Amino acid sequence: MAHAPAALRWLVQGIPRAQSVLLAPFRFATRDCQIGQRWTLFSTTGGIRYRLEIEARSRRSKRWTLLYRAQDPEHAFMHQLLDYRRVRNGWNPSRHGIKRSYDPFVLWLSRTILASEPRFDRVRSRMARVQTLEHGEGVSELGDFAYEIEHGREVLQ
Amino acid sequence: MIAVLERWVAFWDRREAPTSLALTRILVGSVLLVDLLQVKYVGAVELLWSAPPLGMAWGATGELLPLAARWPGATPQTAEWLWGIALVSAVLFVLGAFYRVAAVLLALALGQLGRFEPDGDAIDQLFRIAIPILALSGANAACSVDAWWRLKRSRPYPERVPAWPRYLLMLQLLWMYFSAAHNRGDSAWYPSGGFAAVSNVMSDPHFARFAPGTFRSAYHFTQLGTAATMLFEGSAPLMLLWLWLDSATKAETRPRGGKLGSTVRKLHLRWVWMALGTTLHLGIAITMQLGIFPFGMLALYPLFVHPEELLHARESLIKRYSS
Repeated sequence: MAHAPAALRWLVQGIPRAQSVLLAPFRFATRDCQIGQRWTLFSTTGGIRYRLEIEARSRRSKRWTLLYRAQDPEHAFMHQLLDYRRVRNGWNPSRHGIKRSYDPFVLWLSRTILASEPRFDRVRSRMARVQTLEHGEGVSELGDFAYEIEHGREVLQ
Repeated sequence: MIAVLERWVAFWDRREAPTSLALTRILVGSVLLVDLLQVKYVGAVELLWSAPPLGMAWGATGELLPLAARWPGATPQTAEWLWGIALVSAVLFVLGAFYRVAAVLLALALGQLGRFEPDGDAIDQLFRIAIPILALSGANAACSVDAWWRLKRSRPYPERVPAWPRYLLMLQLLWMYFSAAHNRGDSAWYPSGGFAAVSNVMSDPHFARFAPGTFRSAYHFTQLGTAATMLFEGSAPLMLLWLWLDSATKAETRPRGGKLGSTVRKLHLRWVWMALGTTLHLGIAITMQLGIFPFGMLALYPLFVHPEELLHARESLIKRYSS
């Protein structure tokens, strides 16, 4: 962009500003009605993806137990709720990263688990990072995690 | 200039039988109803629409609060009430009973729920646009309790209703597809990225219905699916041309578009485009976990069919089964 002719630069940088001015009277639609006309459906795919894991720590042994992992039928605690599309939208990272609903989601989930399961003293939520393989071979675990949040029993206060 | 304006006004003031809009109303409302029932079934009402720490509705915090968060408050009770209002109005919307009031209530409830849960997906946003337009339409003039009641009282709805809501919703749907196509910067959607996008999504642990790698032997089909998706979405504006060329097949009007028009009609391009869209959405429904998205999109497809065609198809079916 820095090497583009000045006239082209002026035009390209001016278009978003002009668009912003023209759309100003309709901004209420985006703000108050949560609607817009920019549709980004799977605009990025592949590369690094995530896999949500929910774990709880035993009060006695201090060992972590895997309760839920996305797409893992053997660890499917509350899977109907967690897999439901509106809830998943809250915890699934977008191309811009984690969403604002992730923190309150983890807090709610931790409170729910700790309140119903006295044997646990901590709950943690994190995303295992996976690499998408080429030619439809699936994904490989990278062995590290992102977006880790941990809560103890103090959240029940 | 005045002639152009007159033609513009005449275009948007066209009338037609309410069949396509009524069918869209029933399908959209039914998909929404199933989704609302599913929220309750999985126990997500309070989680989705209560403010933290009782839920994850971050839209109910901060300065720009939704109306229902200001009064009566972003509590689990409010979430239940909003869900209840949306559910009852969705039932009335599908039945076409007290239609105008029900549709406006449904639009307001969906708007409020969207404010509480700003991370909703594309289909929620599309419904927040489609339902107010359907509310203003004559979608209740057929296949509805309102129409039955009016007929019983010898005050039937007019046989023809304004066509502009159908046109507007068609434009919305076509724009959604086209916008989705040109917002894709990821090379996996293009030849340079090997058309790997559909395969990538089918491997995403958060969206895949089957274990990642299940379709490795069908990789070439997924590449074909990626190319077909881009072709389908990128060609959405052409559907306007197909519709225009295909709309003058009635005996009283002169066939449009000369050679191009006759080729388009001969190849049934409008129907081919819709069949491709239907196939892609059904493929999504089978291989990915996207909730109501594919069904919500397909629920709007009757808009692409002229009411006369639907009535003709119905008469043909009745004739076939009665003989």
